Amino acid sequence: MPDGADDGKKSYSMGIDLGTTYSCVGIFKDGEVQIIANDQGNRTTPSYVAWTDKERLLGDAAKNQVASNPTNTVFDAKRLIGRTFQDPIVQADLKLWPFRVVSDGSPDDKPLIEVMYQDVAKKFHPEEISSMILTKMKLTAEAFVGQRVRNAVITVPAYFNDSQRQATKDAGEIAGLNVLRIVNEPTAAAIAYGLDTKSKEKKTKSGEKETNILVFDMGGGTFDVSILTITDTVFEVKATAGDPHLGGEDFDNRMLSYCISEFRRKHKSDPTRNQRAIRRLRTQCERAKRQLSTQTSVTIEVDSLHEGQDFNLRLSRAKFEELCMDYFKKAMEPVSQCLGDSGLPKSQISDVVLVGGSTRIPKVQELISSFFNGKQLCKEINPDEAVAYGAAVQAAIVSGTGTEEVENMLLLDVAPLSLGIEMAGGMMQKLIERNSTIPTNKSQDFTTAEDYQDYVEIKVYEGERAMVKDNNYLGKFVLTGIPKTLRGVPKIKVTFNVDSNGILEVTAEDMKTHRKGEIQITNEKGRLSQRDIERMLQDAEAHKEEDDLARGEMMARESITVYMRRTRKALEDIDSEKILKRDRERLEKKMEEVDLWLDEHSNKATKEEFEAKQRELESAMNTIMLKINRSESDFWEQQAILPENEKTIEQGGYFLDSGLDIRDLIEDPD
Amino acid sequence: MEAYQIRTFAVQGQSYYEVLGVAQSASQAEIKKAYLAAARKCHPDLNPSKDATVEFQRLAEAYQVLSDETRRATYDRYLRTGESGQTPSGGYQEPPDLDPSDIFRHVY
Repeated sequence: MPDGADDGKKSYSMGIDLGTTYSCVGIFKDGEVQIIANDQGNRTTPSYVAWTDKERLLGDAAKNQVASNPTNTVFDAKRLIGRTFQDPIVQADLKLWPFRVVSDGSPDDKPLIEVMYQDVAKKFHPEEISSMILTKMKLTAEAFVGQRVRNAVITVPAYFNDSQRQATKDAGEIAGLNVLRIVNEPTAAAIAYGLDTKSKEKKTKSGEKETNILVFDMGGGTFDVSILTITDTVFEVKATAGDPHLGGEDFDNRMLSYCISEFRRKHKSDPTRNQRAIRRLRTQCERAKRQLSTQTSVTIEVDSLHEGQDFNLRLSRAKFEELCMDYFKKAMEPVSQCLGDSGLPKSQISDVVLVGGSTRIPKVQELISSFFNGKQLCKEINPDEAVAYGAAVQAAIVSGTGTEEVENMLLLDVAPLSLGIEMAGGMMQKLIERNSTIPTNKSQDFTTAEDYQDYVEIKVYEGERAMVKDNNYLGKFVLTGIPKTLRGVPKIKVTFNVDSNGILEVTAEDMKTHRKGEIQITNEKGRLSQRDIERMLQDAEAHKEEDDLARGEMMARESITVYMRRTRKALEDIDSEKILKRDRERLEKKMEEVDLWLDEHSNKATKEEFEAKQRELESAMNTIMLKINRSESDFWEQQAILPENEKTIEQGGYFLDSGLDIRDLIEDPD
Repeated sequence: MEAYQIRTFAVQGQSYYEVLGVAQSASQAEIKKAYLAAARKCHPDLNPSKDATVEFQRLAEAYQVLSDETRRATYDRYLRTGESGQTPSGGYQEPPDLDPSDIFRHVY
C-alpha cells in the first residue's frame, strides 16, 4: 500500500471529478463507492474559490457570495488550465469573467488570475486555483472517513490535451495529493455504468458477452464522446472525441447575452460593465436553464438590476433552444467522428449513456436519440456523480484497496490526439496515432545532417491536421552533446512515451555510446517547472494551517451536533418514572442553551469552544444517567463511600473521558 | 539546425502473432481473447513492474494492428515479402522491421 498504512489503519484512495463548474468526490469503502456530501450536505461542490477581507472561501461558501464579491471570486479554472494567455479561447472567455486574468509576461505566456486579498493584489496560476478546489474535496473525503487521505485519482475530459493533463496533475501535487492516475471522464462514467448493469444482470447468467456503449458526457464546460466495448470485466475504449470547450456555461452565456440585449432594448442603458448586475443576471440564467429542462417556459427576474431598473423576461424552452442550437448541433460532430474512428456501425451501439448536467436538456437528448434513429437513451446512472463514482473505483483498482470484483476489472484507455514531429515543408509526421491504447511507446532514430553537428532540434506537435501549423505545438526538444563526427554517423534514439495518464514524455539516447546523460532535452511545453510547483506547494501549506483549523472546527461542530441528537433521543427513551422531572427539565434547559449557542456561534466558534460546549453537555447528561442507573435515595451516600480512584464513569469511577471529575460538576439536588 | 531522421525499426525477433501467442490463421475472436488474457497479466493498473509496462505496450501495438483486418492484411503481406507496409496516407505506420537493411530516410 503506497501510503498511510504505517499506523495500521486501512488507507483510502479517493476519486475526484474536478469539474469546470462543480466537483464531486467518491471513496471506495466497505465494498462500495460512497459519494461524499460536503459540510453543507451537498454531494457536488461548486468549483469556486473566493477571497474576502478576512479569509479564503472554497466551494459553496465561495459561490454563495459571488454577487457581492464578483472580482475576487474565481471559477472556471478548468477553462484556463494548460492554455496560454493568448489562446483565442482564453481571450474570448476573458470578456465574460468578472475576475481579472493577466499574462505572466514570460515567453511561456501563462495566464494568471489576479485577486485582491487584504488590500494586496495576489496572482495565482490556474493550477493553484484547481489545487484549492482539490483541497476542498480532500477535506470532504477526510471528514467522511475520519483520517488523512492522500491518494487520489483525478478525472479530466478525455479530449484534454497533453498540457491540460499535465497541469491537472500539477494541481494535484500542489494540493499535496499523491496523484495515482489521471483518468478520462467518460471512461470513469463507463465504469459506473458497467457496475450498475452488472449488478442488475447478476440474476441472469453473465457470460462472455460483449457490449458496445457510447458515453455522451456534456458538463458545465467540456464535452466528450467515448465508445467502449465492455467484455465481462474489461472496459476497452475504442475511440474518443470531443470539444474541450463546450458545455452548460456556453448556454448560460448565450442566455446572458440575450438578456442583456433585451435589457438594453427596453431601458436604453447597458449593464455590461456593471459586474454585480452581470453576475446576478448570470445566476438567474443558469437557474432558468435548469428549469427549462422540466418546464416549457420560465420567467427570469432580477430586482433593481442596473440603474434602479428591474429585469423581467419570459423565456420559452423553444427560445432557449433557438439561442443554443448551433452548440447543440456542434455536439453531434464528435459523435459521428467517434463512431467512424471506432469502426462500429450505429446499430452495434447497444446503449447510449448520458453523463453531465447538460445532458438533462431535452433538445440535446432529442438530437442524440434521433442521431441513433430514435434510440432509447440510458439515463440510469446519476449524471452528476457517475464520473466521481468511476474514479473512486479506479482509485481502488490502482491502489489495490477494492473488493475482488473491482480488482478484477481492467480499463484499457486511449490517447485522444495523435502525436508527431515536424518534417520537411511543415508536414506533421505522426508517431503515435490517436486512439492508440495507452500506455504506448514509439521510438525513432535521428542522425545529424551536417558534419560535426553537435545538436539537433525536434519540434513536437499534437493534433490530426496534415500541417503542423494547424496542430497544437507542444514543445521543442533540443538534443545536445552529440559526439562531433561526420554527418549521418551519430544515431540518437528518441522515444515518445505516453503513460497511463495520457501524458507524453520524451527520452533520448545516443545509440553509439549508450550514454543517456550526454543528451539534454529542453522541454518547453509551457508547463510549470518543478521549482514553481514546490513554491506553490509551500504557499498551499501556509494555507493548510488555516484549513486544518477549519477542518478541526468542522469535525468538532459535527461531533456536538451528533451528541445533541443522541441526547435528545436518549431523553425520549428514558422511562419517565426513572428520571426526576427536575433532572429532565435541567437537561432540557441545558440542551436549549446549547442549541441557542450553536445558532449564534456555529460559524465562528473554535474547535476548543465546540469541545468545551460538548463537555458541558456530557457532564449534565452523565450526571443524570448515573442517577438513573443507581437508586435515587442512596446516590449521594454511594458518592461518599466510593473509593478515590481514577476510573471513568463506565468503570464505576468519577471521571469523564475528558478527564473531568464529576464530583466537581454535580450540584447537590437540594 | 537540420537533422536526418532515419526510420530504422528495431529488430524485435517476434512477430505480432508471436507477441500475442496466436497462429497466423487466428480468428478475430481468438486474437481478442489472447490479447485480453495477456493484458490482465501486464497492464500497469494490475502489475506495477516496469517490465510489465513494456510488455503491455508491445501487446497493445500487436493487437492494434491485428484487430484491424486492413492493417492485418498489410502486415501479413509485409511478413511474406519483407516489403514495407508504409502507405503514403499513413494508415499503417509502424511495421516491426525484420530486415535491418530496410532504412527509411527523410531529410527535413
